[in-house]
Amino acid sequence: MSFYLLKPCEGKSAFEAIPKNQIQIEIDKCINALKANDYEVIDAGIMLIAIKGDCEISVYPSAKLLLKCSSKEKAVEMANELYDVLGVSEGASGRV
Amino acid sequence: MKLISLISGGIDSPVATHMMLERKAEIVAVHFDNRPFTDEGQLNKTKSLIKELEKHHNREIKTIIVPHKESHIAFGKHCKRNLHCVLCRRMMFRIAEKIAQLEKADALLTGESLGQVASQTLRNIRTESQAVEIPILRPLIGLDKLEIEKFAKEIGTYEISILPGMCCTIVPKRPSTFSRLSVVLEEEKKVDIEGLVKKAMNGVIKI
Repeated sequence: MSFYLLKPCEGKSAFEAIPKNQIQIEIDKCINALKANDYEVIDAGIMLIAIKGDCEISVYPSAKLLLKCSSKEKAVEMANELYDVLGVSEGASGRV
Repeated sequence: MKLISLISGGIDSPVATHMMLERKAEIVAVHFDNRPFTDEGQLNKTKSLIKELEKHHNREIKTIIVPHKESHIAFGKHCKRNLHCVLCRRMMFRIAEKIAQLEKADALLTGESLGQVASQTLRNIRTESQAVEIPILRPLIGLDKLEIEKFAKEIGTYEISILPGMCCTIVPKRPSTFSRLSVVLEEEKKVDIEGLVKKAMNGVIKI
């Protein structure tokens, strides 16, 4: 899936993945798919947090992701993997 | 005068704390740990800010860290999205009031400044204050951001506050700026407020 990868601002220690096309995902239906792919999931109803290794990813209904990752490259990799797990992947092309 | 200061990793609450330290108030700093809805940066910044204030005033400040994740999850799952910040702040005040009772403190202290963010409208401040009986002191209420930043630079907390740290990720896109107490009380019936307060109190860490 095509998405923009943004660094919200200098002061923030995270990256934001925003799909180029408008997408809606159903948060409650993502939980099992994520757990089946070795993510620890914190379900906060209106959004969820998926944790794998040292990456924490906030997932929103708009398919926006907020990635707490060590580097830009890792953020792109995790965004691609997560969109794939959620079944919204159309071939990755993350760009910063 | 003993005060419970709600302190974050931001610019405002250390300045409010400094102002009351100047007035010789005894301060107990309380930080609400919002991880994983924030990151480690906020907690680390808070600890550094408190150290800076201790250095500036040559006094030790007792510090208490309160886990706040469960409240966010409960409000996120069960309550109106736009009221999340109001519900969150009411919860923080309730927990801080409990700590004040244990510490025999006289009031809470916050870095709120009128109109600075959505949760800090006069209407929201009123709704939030109604969660507790203890007085809430807000020494920055009439200052604007530049004035607060000027103080922060003078006391050496500004450079710490602007270090990287993730803001709360569960904040709604369109937070309520005109909350009604009756609506908020209905929303709070959907969650176990007392249970959440108890859980938070059981998880406090004193440093």
